[in-house]
Amino acid sequence: MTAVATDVAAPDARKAGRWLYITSVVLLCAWVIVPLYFLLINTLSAPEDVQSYPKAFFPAFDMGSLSFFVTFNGMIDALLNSIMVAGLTMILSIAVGAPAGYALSRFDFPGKELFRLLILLNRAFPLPLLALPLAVMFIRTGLDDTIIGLALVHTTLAIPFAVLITFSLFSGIPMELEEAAWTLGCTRLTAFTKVVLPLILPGIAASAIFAFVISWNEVFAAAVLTIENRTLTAFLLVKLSEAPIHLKFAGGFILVLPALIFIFAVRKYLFAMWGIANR
Amino acid sequence: MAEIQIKNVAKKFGEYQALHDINLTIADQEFMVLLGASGCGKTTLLRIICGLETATTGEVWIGGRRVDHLPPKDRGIAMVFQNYAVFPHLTVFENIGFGLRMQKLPNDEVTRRVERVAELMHIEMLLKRYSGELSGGQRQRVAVARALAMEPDVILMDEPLSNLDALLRMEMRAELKGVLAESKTTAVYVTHDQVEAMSLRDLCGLMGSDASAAIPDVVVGT
Repeated sequence: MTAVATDVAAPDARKAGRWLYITSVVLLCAWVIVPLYFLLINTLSAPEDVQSYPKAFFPAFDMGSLSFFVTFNGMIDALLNSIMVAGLTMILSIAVGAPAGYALSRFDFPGKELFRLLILLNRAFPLPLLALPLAVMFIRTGLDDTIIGLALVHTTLAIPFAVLITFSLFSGIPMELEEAAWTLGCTRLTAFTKVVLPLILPGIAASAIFAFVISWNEVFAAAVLTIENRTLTAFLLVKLSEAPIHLKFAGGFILVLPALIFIFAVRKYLFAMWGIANR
Repeated sequence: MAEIQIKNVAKKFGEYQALHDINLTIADQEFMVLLGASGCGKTTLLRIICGLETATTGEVWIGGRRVDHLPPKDRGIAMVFQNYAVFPHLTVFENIGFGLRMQKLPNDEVTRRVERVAELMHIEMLLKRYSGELSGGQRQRVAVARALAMEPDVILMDEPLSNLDALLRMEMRAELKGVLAESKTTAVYVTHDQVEAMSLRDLCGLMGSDASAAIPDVVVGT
């Protein structure tokens, strides 16, 4: 009798649970997609339509806002600065982070655990706290308002991720593969380039792209540390009050799009990284 | 001329003494089996001969040369690992030919040797596949073929059959013995299975403290 009762109760509970699950998924997706959708609509509509309500479902594909954006004074320079800083960050964080990840996965050295902890703690520092002392130091050393100066700050932000991702990548390659290569005529270096590198290259690329996106989206340090050579984020922040609204939409769209595409492309590696970091 | 001589080799990992004063001579073209329970140090000794570990004290001589300061690639050895270590990003052909390409041999020589060895190990139809598409037994044969293609003076094998099912193990044992006798290579084979040791060896060295049976020809170390 009780068996029958639970059989009847279970489908209802499961059904209700399923509805809850579906609803929360839809809400979460909407929370992300709806703002992006508005961004897209308003970017691709004529400048006058931005204030109109209700919104057309499909964008008019009017390039008015975008062309205004492109010709706005200083916008293209800011865009180029963003690209240069992000590119530099990408190169530096991989150049420093990948060897660190390799060392952590392959070697045992005194202070190894402390090193790992410090890398993680790096992210615990609130950037606003550091930004002003950094600005002072940068002015003193002449790094203020330079691409390389900002890239150094962004590299510091990106390195923990670079190290963590590369660490999990290298840990996934059994030592035996390298040892086999050593017995087959490879030096340590050639074993690395011929066996390990081809296997982790996709992961390194993902790590590099993630570093690029971190730098691209960063606002605070960029706003504080650059004056003449603003990056796009800093530029838009400063012009926020003065600019017409369709410009802000276009700027927002330009900022969001690369990050969106890149993160989508490398999501597999990010899941792996967070899975490892949760242990 | 690939006689192996191990003189007074000892290995310590931190405080733990893995090998105490090993003295062993393996004659040219002999098939020596190192038999012992897990943890007795047989893999450590094999890795010391190979060059993947360095002995704390003692000397290793291969073919009349002292090799213990040389990296694995300069010792004239080839090794078959317990987990095969077949390169996943290369085809079977490129795996077997890896060592030959590192020696910068001409293409037709590489092809000739790879095909010959692949025929020996009955994997000639698998040459275009990747390791992910192979069964365990096939991967093991690729690993052995890769070592054999190098035509080394000495071949070292670390429990290469332990991951295979019983029937395949028996077949591979017979094949291995035949192949190695034909290629006139000195072989050092590590296993914990006495039956395997008995069926393969010319000479069997028993390692570890279990010196109860009258099986071994040589008791190696403590």
